[in-house]
Amino acid sequence: MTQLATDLHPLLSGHRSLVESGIAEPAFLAKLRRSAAARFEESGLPTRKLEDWRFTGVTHLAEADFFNAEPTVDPPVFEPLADAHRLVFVDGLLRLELSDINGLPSGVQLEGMSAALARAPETLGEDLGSRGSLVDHPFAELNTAQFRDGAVLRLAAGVVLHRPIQLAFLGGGLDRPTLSLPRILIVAGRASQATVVENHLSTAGRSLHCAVSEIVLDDGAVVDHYRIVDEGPEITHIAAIDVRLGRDSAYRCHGFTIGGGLVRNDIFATLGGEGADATLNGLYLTGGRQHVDNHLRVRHRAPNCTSHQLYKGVLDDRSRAIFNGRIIVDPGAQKTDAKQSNRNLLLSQTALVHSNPQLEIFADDVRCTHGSTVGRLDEDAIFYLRSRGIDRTTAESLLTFAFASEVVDRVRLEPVRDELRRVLLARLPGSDRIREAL
Amino acid sequence: MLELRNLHVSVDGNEILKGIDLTVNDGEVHAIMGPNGSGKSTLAQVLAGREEYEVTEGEIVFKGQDLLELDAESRACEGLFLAFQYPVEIPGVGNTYFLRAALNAIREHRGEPALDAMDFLELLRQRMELVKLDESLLKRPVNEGFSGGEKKRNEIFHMAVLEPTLAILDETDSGLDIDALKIVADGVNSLRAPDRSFLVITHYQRLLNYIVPDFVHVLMNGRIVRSGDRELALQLEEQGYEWLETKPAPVGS
Repeated sequence: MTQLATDLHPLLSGHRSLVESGIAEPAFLAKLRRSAAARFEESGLPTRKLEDWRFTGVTHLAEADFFNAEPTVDPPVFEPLADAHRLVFVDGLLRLELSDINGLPSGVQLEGMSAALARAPETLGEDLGSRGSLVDHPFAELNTAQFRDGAVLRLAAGVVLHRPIQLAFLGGGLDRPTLSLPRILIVAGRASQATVVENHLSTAGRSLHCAVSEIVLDDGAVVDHYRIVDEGPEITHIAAIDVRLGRDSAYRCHGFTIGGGLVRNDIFATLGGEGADATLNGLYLTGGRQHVDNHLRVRHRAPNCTSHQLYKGVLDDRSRAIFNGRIIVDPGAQKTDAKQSNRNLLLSQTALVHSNPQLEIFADDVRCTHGSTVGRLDEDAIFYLRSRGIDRTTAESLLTFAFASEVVDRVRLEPVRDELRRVLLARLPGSDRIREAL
Repeated sequence: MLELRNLHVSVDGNEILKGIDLTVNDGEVHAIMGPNGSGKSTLAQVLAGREEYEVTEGEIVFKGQDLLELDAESRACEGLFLAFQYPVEIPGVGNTYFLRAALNAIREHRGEPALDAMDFLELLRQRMELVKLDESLLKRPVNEGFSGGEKKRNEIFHMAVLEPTLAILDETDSGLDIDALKIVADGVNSLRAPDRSFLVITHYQRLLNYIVPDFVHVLMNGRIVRSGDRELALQLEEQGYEWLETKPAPVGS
């Protein structure tokens, strides 16, 4: 009973070719895809009339003619993370020849989404696409309707992974705009532990990267998740991440947006078991005409949970940033301890920030704080540094570096932290002096 | 070392300093005293190069150069140091790190190589002794969470590391108890040298019991109304400033 409108939305051409190709997919997935496509077909791309998309316009994407990803594109140059298990994707499709999954400890499943679907589709039915928060998210629907590949990471109960897992998503479509749709599923079993480093890296091109991650933490699991978005200046990167936290589990996400023309990161975290802890830290460094939008929604459903959000932005030139952080405390979630802070540093007169922290509290015994600031460098501090011999440019760079370091310093994985410091320093004028003094 | 000639300074169109003449020779310690609002801190900030203060008339010559031609960082590199009345907190910038950046900038200006890490730490250790600074304050961000006394001692510590030729202490004594005051004064005294001069700005005579000045000047309403030696400070301690207001001063008017 395949019904396809003849004038399907142009962004759904991958869905059409999936259906037409007759590739056998598990019934649950075919059903998911059909309903996702139908909902997207009905809603279309979100307009600025929708509250969640008020400051981020995306309707122009309908006019771009995106090609579907091909597995034959030349991969770009990429420096892999040392001593990591690794899956490498080009335009969202797994490239085993670039990957390294030797020596995975027992109890760890790490493979491509396409391979997992072919090998044991029934194991994915329970976790894939069952997340309420991803329904009605137009870009998550786009992904669900037509993703071809991605990553599956599954940790058996009690498994502690010592080496990090790197998921590298490289953009290949330099000569033609490509729609890449990676899908990530992470299921961390009871009391398991892992570190996942997700890199989204491209240099040029006008592609649309639309990524969806579903992360499930069973009781007592700990997942450190690093997302480093460093896309080319004309790339649109839109990600939706759904995280479910079980009892006493801890999810720590460190999101860094370093590059990309239009970047939107949506994180939906649900603390569903007592004692769970969600830490969402982020840093965005923007310049030129970049537009970076971070939407976080943390929902406390169970009592005695904690959540911390620290998002900081450094904006230059005519760039824009949006921060929208919502904390929802359900009626039963007593003793919730939730903190949210968004701080922005404007380096130019023309950069702009919309910061919108929101609290929705339906329990009466909770501690929730939030705050947001938008400011410029402190002239008193600059003068103090200058009066000790440090020139103005270096003083400004030093203060900017210090501002951003609050987030970078929280990265526990040393090679990632060093790399982020290097990137940050490279952005700052006169950084040689800062490096010398470090 | 330093010569101020008929210095007039305005802030937001209000004239704060109304013609200051002052000569500080090598190795001398000059105290500037005066009531609140007399222009003492303005003088300190102008010397350090704060741009919000506009020099409308007069000149400042420092070591033979026109000081007003130099920006704040160049003045520091030339050997001028201001210990702030209100030291600024710099979140995220470690005290050691900051001092290293400052010292290396000054050394580079003088054509000297940057100090290596070991020599630098040795220097810090020596200078910390002078002001009995707790070692933990080295690692903390500059002035952040420091007590009032720690901030003032940290200023003198910075001075000891950067070794200026002219140090201006802007009310370094305010808010210090007598023990902290002695520590700060001992630190300053240990840095007194034939080629180093001090301008000690204070509201109270008390500090001058410990840092004994060669000259004392009284600043009132933007003018130096009287200059003298240490006895003048003691007289002010006894009589306050009022007697100077009623009697037109022989200097600067």
